[in-house]
Amino acid sequence: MITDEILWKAAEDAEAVLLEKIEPLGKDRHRFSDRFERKMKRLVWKESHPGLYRLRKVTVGILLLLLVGGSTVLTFDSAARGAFIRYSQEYIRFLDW
Amino acid sequence: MIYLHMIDTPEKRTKFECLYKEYMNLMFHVANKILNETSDAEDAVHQAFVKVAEIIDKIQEPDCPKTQGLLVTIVENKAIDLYRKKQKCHKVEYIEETMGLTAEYKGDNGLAGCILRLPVRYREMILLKYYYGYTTKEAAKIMGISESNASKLDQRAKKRLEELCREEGIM
Repeated sequence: MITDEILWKAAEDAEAVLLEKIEPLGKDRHRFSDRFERKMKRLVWKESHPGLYRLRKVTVGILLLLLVGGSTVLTFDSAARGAFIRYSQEYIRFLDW
Repeated sequence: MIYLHMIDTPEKRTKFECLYKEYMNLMFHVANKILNETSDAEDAVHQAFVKVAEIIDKIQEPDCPKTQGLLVTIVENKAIDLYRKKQKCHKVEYIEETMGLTAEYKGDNGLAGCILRLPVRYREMILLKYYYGYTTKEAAKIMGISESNASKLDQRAKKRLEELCREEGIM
């Protein structure tokens, strides 16, 4: 019967041997691709700024909700659609002016 | 990298960044040894860091052998997962028997030698539980498997270890 106590000691020895066997890295380090650097940059940013990351996620969520909700209202409510078109036309005219 | 340099002050550097800078090359080296393909190895390293981000609170000191070992275990796990997906191979047992880091133990602790002879999944489970001290639930999260599968894996690993010990005449 292998007891947990014996297993703890053996696991420690096994891991030490495993790490010893990893060949030391030479001077020629791998040059990581731009794609990898970009992905890691995003991940590092996310980990370094968890608050900002959450804020960004919430903002995007709210914007998406507004977009989907707005589109649904415009699809089914003709009065709202008419008002939206009128407002858009006025806004375009204002920009032209 | 420019971004990292911009925020590279001791106060602002997070544990995650320290791990990234310290071990990215080692992890790539391990992944490339398994996958033999640089772009796949980079993907495995990225996936490993995603996993590291999930368990960052459980990692103690960035600069210690235990952390190094844990990151090597995670990237090895991810590299083998990726290899299996790429091969679309159903011979999972075969892959697990033959792949991963190998080392021969020449010390007095026969059980340590048997752990190193275990298939990689079994070895990872044993090390995560009995060296890194993770619970089955935590080990499951690290290995990307369900808790019930992790529990089965743990039982099978111990059973296989006992068989190996019997073969070696340790038990």
